[in-house]
Amino acid sequence: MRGVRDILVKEVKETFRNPRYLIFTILFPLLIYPIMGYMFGFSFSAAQETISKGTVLVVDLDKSSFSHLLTDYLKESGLNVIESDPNSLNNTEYLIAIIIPKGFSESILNGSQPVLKSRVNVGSISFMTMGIVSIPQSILEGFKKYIGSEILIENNIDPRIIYDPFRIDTLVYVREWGRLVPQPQLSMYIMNIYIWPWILFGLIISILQISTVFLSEEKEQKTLEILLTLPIDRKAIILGKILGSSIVAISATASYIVGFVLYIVLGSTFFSMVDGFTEILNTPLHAIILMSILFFLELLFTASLGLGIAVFAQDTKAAESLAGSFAMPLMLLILAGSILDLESLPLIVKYIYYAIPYSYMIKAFEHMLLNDYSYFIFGSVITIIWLIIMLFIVSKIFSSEKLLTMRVRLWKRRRGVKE
Amino acid sequence: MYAVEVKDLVKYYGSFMALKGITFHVDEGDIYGLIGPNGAGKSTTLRILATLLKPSSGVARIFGYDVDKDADRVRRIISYLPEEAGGYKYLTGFEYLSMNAKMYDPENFREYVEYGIEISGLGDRIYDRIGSYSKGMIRRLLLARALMMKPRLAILDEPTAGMDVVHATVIRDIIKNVAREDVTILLSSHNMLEVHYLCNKISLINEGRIVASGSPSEIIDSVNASNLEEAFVRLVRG
Repeated sequence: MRGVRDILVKEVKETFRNPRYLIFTILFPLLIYPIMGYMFGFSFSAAQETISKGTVLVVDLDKSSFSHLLTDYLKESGLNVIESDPNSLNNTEYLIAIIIPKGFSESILNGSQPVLKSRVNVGSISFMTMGIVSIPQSILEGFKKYIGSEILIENNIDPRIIYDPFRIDTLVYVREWGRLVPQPQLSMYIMNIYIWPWILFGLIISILQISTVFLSEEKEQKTLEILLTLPIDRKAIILGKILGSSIVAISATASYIVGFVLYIVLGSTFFSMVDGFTEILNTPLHAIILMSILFFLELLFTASLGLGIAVFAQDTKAAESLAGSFAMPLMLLILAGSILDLESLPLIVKYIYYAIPYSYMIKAFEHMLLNDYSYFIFGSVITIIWLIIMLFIVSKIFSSEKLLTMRVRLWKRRRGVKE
Repeated sequence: MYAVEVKDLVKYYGSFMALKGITFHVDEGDIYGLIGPNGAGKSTTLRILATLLKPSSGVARIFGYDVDKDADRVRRIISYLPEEAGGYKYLTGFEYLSMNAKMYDPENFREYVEYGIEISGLGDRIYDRIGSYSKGMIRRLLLARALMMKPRLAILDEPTAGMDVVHATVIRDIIKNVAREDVTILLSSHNMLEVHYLCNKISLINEGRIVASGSPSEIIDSVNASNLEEAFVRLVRG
C-alpha cells in the first residue's frame, strides 16, 4: 500500500531522534537495571571481602575443648581471628566479636544450651550490611552442625542419622498441566511465569502511549491536516503509524529485556535465578515463535487501540494521560489472571476473561513451557478478531471528519458550561 | 470545466451554520482569492475543498471530481496549505519534502524535491532539522511542499499568515511564479492589499455568505471605492 513505508520511516525517525524517548525508553532500562544488578552483586562480594579483611575478636571465657574447637573453626573459615579479653570489646576497631561464655563445653554436653554471643560492628546501614551480618551467622550455624557431628562421631553414631536421616523428593501434580513437576523446578517456573506478564504490562502501556502520542503530536504540531490531504489511502496512514509504534515498542522491549538480563547476570552472586534463565533457553524454538506471534498481534492491537484513544486527545499530555488510564484495568487483569484459579470461576466470567486479548499474555510463558500450542493459536485468533474490529473503528474515524472536529465539539461544550 | 465549482455549499458544526449556501467558481489558471474577516467561512470552504471536511449540503467539485464522493481522486490533483500548520521537528527540511514528494510520485520524487528546495529558498538550511527553523522558514518550507509537485490546484489558506513584510513578499512572488506553470491557485486572506496584488479574481465572504465576486477592479468600481478594503467595508455594511 503506497505511503505505508514513508509514514513508518517518518514515525521511526521522529521517535528515535527525540532525546526524551531515547533517554526514558531505551537508555533508562539499559542502564538502570545493570547498575542495580551490579550494586547487588558488588555489595555481596564487598561484604565477603570486608569480612575477610576485618578483625574477629574471640573472647574465650571458657578455655575448654569446644571453645578451642570454635576458635580453630573460625580461623579455618578464613577469618582474621584475634583471641582477646573482655576489655577489648570496648575497642570499636573489630568487625565481629564472639564471646564464648564460661561453661560453654559443659553446657553443650549436658544439653543446657549455652548462649554464644556475637556482636557485629557496622559503620552504617547499606546493602553491604546484609552480607556482613548474614555471613558470621551462617559460619556459626555451620559450627553448630560441625560440633554436633564431632560429638556423634565420638559416640560412634553416623551424623547423617541425626541431621539427614532421609531425603525428600517432592513432586507437585499440576491438574491443569496434567503432569508431575519436581518442586524446585516448579518454584523456578512460578518465578518466571509471574515476572514476564509484568514486563509485558510495561511494554503494552508504553506502546499505548507511543501510538496515542503519534497521532496527538500530529495535532499538536499542526501537521495532521496536511497528512490527511496527501494522495494516499487513509488506511496507509493508520498502518504506517501502527507499524511505527510497534517497531518503537519492540526496540523499547529489547532494551528492557537486555537490561533485565544484565541485572540478573550482574547480580548473580546475589540471585539464585540464573538457572531459571538457562531452563528458558532450552524451550523449543517453535514454542517461542508462536508466543512471539501472539505478543506481536497484541502489540498491533494495542497500537490500534492507542490511535483510537488519540482521537479524543487534544494534545500530547492529554493523550499520555488517556493512555495511562488503561494501566489500572490492565494491572487488575494481570493480578486476576495470576492469582485466581480460572477453572473455579463461573463460566460467564471465564468467557469474558478469555475474550480479552491481553488475558493470553498472562499465562503465555506457562503454556510455552508446556508446549501448549493450541493456547497460542486460540489467543492469536481472538486477538486478530479484536485487531480487525479496532482497525475498522479507527479507519472509520480516519475517513470521517471527526478526527478534526472532535476538538471543536469539546471546546463548544466547555464554552457552553461557562455561559 | 471549472477548476473549482462550488454551488449552494452549506456547512454546519453542530447547530452552528458556518457556510450559508455559497456559490462561486474558479477557472483553470486563475489565482483566485477568498477574502473576508476572521470567522467568515474562508477556512471552512477551503477545508471542504481539501477533502478534510464534508459538506452538509450543496456541491463542491474540483476539475469535475466531487470532493466528498471522489475524495481520493481529488487528493491526487490538489495540494493544501492550512493556515496554522507546522512541520515534523525531528525531520530535516529535505526529509520532509522527500517524504511528501514520494507520496505523490515514488519514482520521480527527486525532481520535485529539487524544485521544492528552489522554491523554499532555504539553501543549505534545508538539511537542518525543522525544529531549528524560524516561523518564516517553516512557512516557506510548507509552501514549497504545497507547490513543488505543481498540482493542478493549490489551496493556500492565509499563505502569509503571521509573517513579516519581507518574508510575505518572498512568498507572494513564489505564488506568482508557480501560477505561471499551469497551477491554479485558490487562496484565502484577510489582507486586501495582498489579494489585490496576487489575484485576478476574488470573492468577498462574510458570515458564511459570498457578498461579491469578480476581479478586484470590478469589485472596487461596483461600489465606487478607492481600494479593495473600502469596497469590502461598504459591501459588508450594505
